[in-house]
Amino acid sequence: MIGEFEYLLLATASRLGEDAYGASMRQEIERATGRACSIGALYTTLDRLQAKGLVETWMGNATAQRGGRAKRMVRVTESGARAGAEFYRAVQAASRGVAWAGGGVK
Amino acid sequence: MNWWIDRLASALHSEEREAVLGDLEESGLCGWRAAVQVGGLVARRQAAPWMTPRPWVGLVGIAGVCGASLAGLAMSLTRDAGMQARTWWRYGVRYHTGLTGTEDAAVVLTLIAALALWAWIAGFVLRRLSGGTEGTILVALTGLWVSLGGGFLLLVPAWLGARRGRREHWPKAAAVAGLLMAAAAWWALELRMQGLVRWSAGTLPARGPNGWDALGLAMACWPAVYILAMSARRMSLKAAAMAMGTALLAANACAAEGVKTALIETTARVEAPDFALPDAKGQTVNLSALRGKVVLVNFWATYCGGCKVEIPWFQEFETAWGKKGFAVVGLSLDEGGWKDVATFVAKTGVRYRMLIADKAMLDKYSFDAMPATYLVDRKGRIAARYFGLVDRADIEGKIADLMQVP
Repeated sequence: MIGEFEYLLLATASRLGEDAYGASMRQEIERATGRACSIGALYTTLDRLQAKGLVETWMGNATAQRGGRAKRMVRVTESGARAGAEFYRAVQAASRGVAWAGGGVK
Repeated sequence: MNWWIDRLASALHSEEREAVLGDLEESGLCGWRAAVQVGGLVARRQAAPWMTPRPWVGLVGIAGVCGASLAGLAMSLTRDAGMQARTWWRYGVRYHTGLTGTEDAAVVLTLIAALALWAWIAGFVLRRLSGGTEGTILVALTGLWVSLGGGFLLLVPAWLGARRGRREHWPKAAAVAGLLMAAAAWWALELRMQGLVRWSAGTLPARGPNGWDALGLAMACWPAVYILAMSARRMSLKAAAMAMGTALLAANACAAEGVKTALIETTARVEAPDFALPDAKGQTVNLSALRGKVVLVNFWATYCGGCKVEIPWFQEFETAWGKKGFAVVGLSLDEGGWKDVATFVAKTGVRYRMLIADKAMLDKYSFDAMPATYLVDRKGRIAARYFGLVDRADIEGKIADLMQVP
């Protein structure tokens, strides 16, 4: 089972699709969680996910917006998609009947 | 982007640096906020290797064990060189060590070369074990610097070795040279001790490098053994542990405490049982014929490990003191007789009197452990008994004491 931050990265990369890279993922995670996401946490977790075979990364093209520097592009692998789905199902199952999860409150 | 953030990011891998600086540019982060982001990633990258045992093995094994040994040898060398320099500066003469100028230079140069090579090898292995990041190598080298103490100049070859450690291949030639240097250093220590004996006109006993010196050399050389183990078998930490363990065990075996004893009071000494046995040439050797000399009588056998350790010492003793009224008699208990003994004697170059003990001898000299060594004083009385491997320094001291008595 992956960790919650790993799940956040997988979900964000999956949603961003071909636009998934360091800066865009960081911005998306901060928007979704309302909390700061450090570059250190982002890149070390990406390395971990890559080592587990859940994502693939490669150096993309340089853009003027980035001062002529290249992006580290991210793509979720099939294993990564399965791991993300498994985590999501577990969170859903664990949240069933919980007040803050909405519906079925006892 | 500020130049100092660029500088900070230079600790990152080139591709990661490119991506991170680009992200910062795109996000519009600069100044201290950008520095915190880059610094955080650098800190995480540097800390990661310390979560594994490898850099700790490097720190303790190289900076602690090997560094301490190198420092000890370097300090002893510095002290000798300092004494030479002071004497030359103040009095314009060479400090007399008992060695000739050439011998002195050979000893010093050998030890300097050995230290420099071992430090280089230590730096190389330190780099490999440290996981390769700048942070781990810096911490490990600081540890080495602290442990080196008086031998801080060794940091130069250690740093060069650490730089070389970035490459993939294992420097087998340097490792083999490092091990050969151990033999050279042993010879230098032996020569220095001989100088001391000459300097003291024989009043100080001839004592070669001992087990502790062997332990120190093993500690200094284990990185070389590690390199050979890694290059030969491509094993991981197990190889390091085994190499170090083997080196330490071997040295520890050399350093094992020998038997010590006290001289028997002159009034309590009994006459040593006499014997008359043929030597290898068929000439009869009598103990009583050696009256007037201090005699070391040693019972041994070719299958006895401890015996083989001490026999070369006894040969050294007779070489040093043979003309001053000292003799050694070896009595073999080998069942194969001369057939077994002759091979051993030829191989080891033992030149003192060697005989084959008979059963009557064993009854006269009652002992139940081998080797068994007796010191017989000039009046033919047993002055000391050693059962087991003798403590070299102890028996040398006792022989010196006995020889002072007319």
